[in-house]
Amino acid sequence: MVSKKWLGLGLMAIFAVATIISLAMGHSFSGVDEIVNVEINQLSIAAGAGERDPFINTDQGNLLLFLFLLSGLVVGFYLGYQWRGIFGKTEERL
Amino acid sequence: MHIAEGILPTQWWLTYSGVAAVLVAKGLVDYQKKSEKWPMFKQLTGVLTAGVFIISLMPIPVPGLGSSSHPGGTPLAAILMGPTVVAPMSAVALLFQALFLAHGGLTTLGANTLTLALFGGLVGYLVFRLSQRSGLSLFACGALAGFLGDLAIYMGTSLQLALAIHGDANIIKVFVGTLMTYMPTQFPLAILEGAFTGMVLKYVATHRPDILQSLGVIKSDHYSKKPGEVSENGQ
Repeated sequence: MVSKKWLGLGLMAIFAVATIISLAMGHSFSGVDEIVNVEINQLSIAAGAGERDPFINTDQGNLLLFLFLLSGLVVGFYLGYQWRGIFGKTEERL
Repeated sequence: MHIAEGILPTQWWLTYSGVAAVLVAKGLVDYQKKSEKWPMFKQLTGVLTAGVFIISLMPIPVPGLGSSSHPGGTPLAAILMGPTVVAPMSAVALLFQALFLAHGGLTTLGANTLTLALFGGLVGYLVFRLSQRSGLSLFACGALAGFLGDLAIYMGTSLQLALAIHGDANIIKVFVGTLMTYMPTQFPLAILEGAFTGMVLKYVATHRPDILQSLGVIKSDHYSKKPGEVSENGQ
């Protein structure tokens, strides 16, 4: 009988190969949210609304990169501060 | 399931945001109570919120269809943390996605929170509890909850959109049309989310059953403390 580990790896390999073949066939893998939003936008405009740019547009130069760096820094420090609370004291784990 | 910025008319995003605010407030009260009982609850909430942020953003391609989508993550979060606490967790995850990645939006934050927390989280939680009562294994309970919770998320979004912007068109027609656009991509991912949810629960039950016991996911007398002697019964 095939072990669960090999079954999982086999399924992942099939999935990876199928994805590569799909890419080679020119599939763009656009997000289903975007597809629905584009389709639904006409109804939305008719209802008096409609898709618009985000209120805070972070797509400007390296702003997004900077914000991620800043967030990583803040979260990293907080995680470090709470380390023992999350993972326990070192002597307890030994 | 992320409804983009501006899609919802004002009265509808205000309505959805109002309902979501009540749910988030209830979640915060429950979070406070649980944290007082068990201090580690706070850290676990933080870690799982980060998990929901990543899982509900991660695009997974569906070979053959040429489209991609993402799981929800809230069925698992609701099973572990409770069906109400998942509301503030979802709101925080979605707020960061809207601010940093323009995925979703601020006016649609309430609607998207309802989708993830109420439809995904609550449905997942209820399915899990019902499955436990029927005596299924922990993996099967989690898998069913993850699968149906994931589908519920997209049914929720379709319902919200149909209610808000059907205009002169038939609500049911808009609902079914939207749902059918989601389903071909989402159905395989719902199966994946089910397997993921079941496997995570089984893994934690095997290696750290005390966490599941502390969270009330399983009863203490059904699980041995030794990893190798864990009962299959999810109750």
